[in-house]
Amino acid sequence: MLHLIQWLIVAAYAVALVCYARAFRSGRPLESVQAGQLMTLAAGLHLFYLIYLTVISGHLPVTDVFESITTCVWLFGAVYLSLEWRFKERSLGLFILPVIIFLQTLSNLFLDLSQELPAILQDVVFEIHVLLMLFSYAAFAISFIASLLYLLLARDLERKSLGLFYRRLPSLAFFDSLSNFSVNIGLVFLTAGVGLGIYTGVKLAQPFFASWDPKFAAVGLTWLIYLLHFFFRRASRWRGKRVAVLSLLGFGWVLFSFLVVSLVFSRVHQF
Amino acid sequence: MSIFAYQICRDALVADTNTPLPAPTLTFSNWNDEFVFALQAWRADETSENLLKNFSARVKTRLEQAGEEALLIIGLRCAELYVVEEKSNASPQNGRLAPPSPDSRLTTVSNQEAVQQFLRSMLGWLPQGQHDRDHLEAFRRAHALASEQGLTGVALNRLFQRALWLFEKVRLETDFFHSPLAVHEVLLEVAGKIFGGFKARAALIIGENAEQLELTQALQQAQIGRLYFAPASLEKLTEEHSGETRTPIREIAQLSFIDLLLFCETPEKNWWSRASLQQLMAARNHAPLLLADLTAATAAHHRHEFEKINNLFHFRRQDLTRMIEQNTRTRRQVEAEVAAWIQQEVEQFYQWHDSEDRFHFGAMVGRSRHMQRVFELIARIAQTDITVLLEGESGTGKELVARGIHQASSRARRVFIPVNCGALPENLLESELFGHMRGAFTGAINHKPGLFEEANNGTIFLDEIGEMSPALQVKLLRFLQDGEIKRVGSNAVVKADVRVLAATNRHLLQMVEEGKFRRDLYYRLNVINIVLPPLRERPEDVEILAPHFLRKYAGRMRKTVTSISMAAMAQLKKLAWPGNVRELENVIERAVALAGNTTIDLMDLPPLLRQSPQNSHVATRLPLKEIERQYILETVAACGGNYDEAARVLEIGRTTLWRKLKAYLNAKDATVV
Repeated sequence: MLHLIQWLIVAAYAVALVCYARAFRSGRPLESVQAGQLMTLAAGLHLFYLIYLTVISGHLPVTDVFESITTCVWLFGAVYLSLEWRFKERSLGLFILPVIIFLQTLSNLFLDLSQELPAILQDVVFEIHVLLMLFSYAAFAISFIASLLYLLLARDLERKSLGLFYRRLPSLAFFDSLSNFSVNIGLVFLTAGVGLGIYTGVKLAQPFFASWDPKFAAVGLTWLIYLLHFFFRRASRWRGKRVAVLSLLGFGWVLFSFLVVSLVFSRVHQF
Repeated sequence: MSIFAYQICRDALVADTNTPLPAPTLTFSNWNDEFVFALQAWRADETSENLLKNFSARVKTRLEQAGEEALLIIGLRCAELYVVEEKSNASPQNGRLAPPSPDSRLTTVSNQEAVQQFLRSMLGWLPQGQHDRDHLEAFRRAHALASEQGLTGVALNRLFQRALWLFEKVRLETDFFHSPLAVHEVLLEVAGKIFGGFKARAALIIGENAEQLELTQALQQAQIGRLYFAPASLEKLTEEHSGETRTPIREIAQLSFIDLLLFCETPEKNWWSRASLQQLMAARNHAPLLLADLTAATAAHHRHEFEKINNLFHFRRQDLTRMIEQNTRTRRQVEAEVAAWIQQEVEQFYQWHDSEDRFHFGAMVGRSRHMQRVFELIARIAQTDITVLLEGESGTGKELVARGIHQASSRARRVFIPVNCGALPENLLESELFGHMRGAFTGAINHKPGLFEEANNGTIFLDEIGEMSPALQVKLLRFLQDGEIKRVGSNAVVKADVRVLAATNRHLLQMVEEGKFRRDLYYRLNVINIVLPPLRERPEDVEILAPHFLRKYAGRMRKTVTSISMAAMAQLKKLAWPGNVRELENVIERAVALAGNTTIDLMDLPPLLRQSPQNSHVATRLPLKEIERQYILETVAACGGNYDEAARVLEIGRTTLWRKLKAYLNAKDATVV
């Protein structure tokens, strides 16, 4: 049952992806609307899956890396869908869905529900901490996609060629503000999440916070990168493409720290 | 029927002012003259509104007499005239066989080609292949005026509706309207790709050249925040609206508030080096800047100099023309696709035109202009739930029209209940219509639902509404306003969803004046008014009605009567027909019965008989989808086929509206409203 739903979700996202791709190629609004509906359907199925996970495991699916990934992916999709609904701009779906499908597949492959759960991880404050962190990562992912598209569109503009990106994508200003907006949101949630994390650590004291954890450094660097993004984009030579690249790097680091640092280095901090 | 189209482009007309237009004969014996007359006014820069009004005043009576249709369009770049003539002797072939054109600048095409041109023009696709959005607007305005004045009829209206439909299809399903082919259009698109909106942006146009005017107009249309002009010397900047000036500009950093720098002439000052532009960008806090060079010859070095400056987008004339070339290539494919659609529409139009359908609506037959209009009106309002008042003499087919409306509506599968208000005394009519409770009056031994309840979800047809008593009129008004009825003797209110069609053979408005009919009820009923003219006013319909009835009764009586003699037909057309179509039908029935051989002769035509109607089926409630469908169609109709407007009223996206309409009208031949 679990596996069936898991792969059904991936399949649904994949179908939506195909539709977005076709709509992007043809440029017909009708097709992109249908693609959006399919994606909503897939996200609905995904939500059902998350609820199902919560029910059978007895806690929110945020207690290990791969559980968190699927929650994060859902948040990402939901944030995207709300943006799509708000701006009526459906060209991003094509670029967002591959990320979603990739991460969801990863989660499907390695999800392991049989693990024993340490008591501290069942704390409500802790769950909120993780959710905040995940939400900020989802926002950074949106910024990542927006920056990627910014670069693609800027490339077409510099080459002065009417590539597909030139024809289908809205405008540099749109991607710029979308990226900035999501980084702002992401920063707020990241800061709040880290704050709660420290609070949890202090409250639980042992043996959690005592030992130094590479995860702290990783999150610190993430925070620094996006803070730089926040300041650079206002008035500097970095404005425009370079800030976009910074956002790409930032999200690359988020993925790295989420997967590699958590799995390889961390013993204490579960993920 | 033949269709002609005349067309001329303003460029040709204005560029060649020396050659006078051929003088119209002033007798206006043909449409060519009409068109030339209009063109002269056009060249004299008369406003298009006046021109259209004068035109309609001139041709109105002529059109009505001949049963023709005409539509004159005066666009910014192009003037057109479409004429539909009922003559059947015109050659059905394509080409320039139609009235000879006295002037080579003026193109004349007929029939299929004319229909094609009509559809193309509605897309703003002008003959030289250029694309002009304003033409579509001019087209819509001209059509609105012409149909209001009654210049257009079934054929042109149908074409217009089809063309609106086609426009929507092309707009939403192809890139037809998104491939700019002029320098200023491409430039604006590029600017859009950089800045998104223009409201908060400032543009500066330096110098003057051929494109400057178009560029200015395009920027204004895009609602640019501020627009400055400066001479090549950059002595001073002038804002377009506020008149605000800035003088003198001494260094490039002073231009930092400009987001779009557009050169139409090479500026005199030597500021355009890499270093100074970097200075400018620094002064702008590195916000994006579009630098477009529209001068004929851009120095080659510019390109590499500016290329690597962050957030500076530099477009030279040759870049823009290269983009146009690319656009032209993709546009050819789209044009081929659109042309195929147009051809399809043309074929569909001729299919409709060649079929007898054109003269039939439900059980009604008619080829006169007036009846054609009635059919068209019915087709447009049937899908809605609008109340209709039918006026016409006895026997003109009011009940047939009502039945036709019912059949063409989405209530077609529910009941249609005709009630003759003149046939019953007041009290009886009341309990018939509204029902009664047990014991409400003597003889009311059971509960009885009224006809309004019986007709729930269906249509009720109130014939001879003028005979209704004042008390009942109030009850009816209450039903029309709230959809509620009360049975006689009951206090409980029952809701019923019934479409009301009413008919009268008396002049209701006059009865209102005399106080015999309630004014408020009159206005409530008279949302749409259909007047059925008596048969004597449309003898041409006898020609098509008589054979129709002949076929009907010959089949029914199993007789081999197949035709009506010339003399008999001539006689039929001459008669005054006090009993109208019903009388004609009876005469033919009788004649068929009496006819000795295969032809009805003068001998077989004497007095009349009578006939009565029949009754119908079951009712259920409407699904939500159906209600949505009706409402959307109603709104589109109310907006005169303006999808933009309809989408705004419905507060849904245009895409959504299109998707829904497309689903409703999947049938190949469906007309929009």
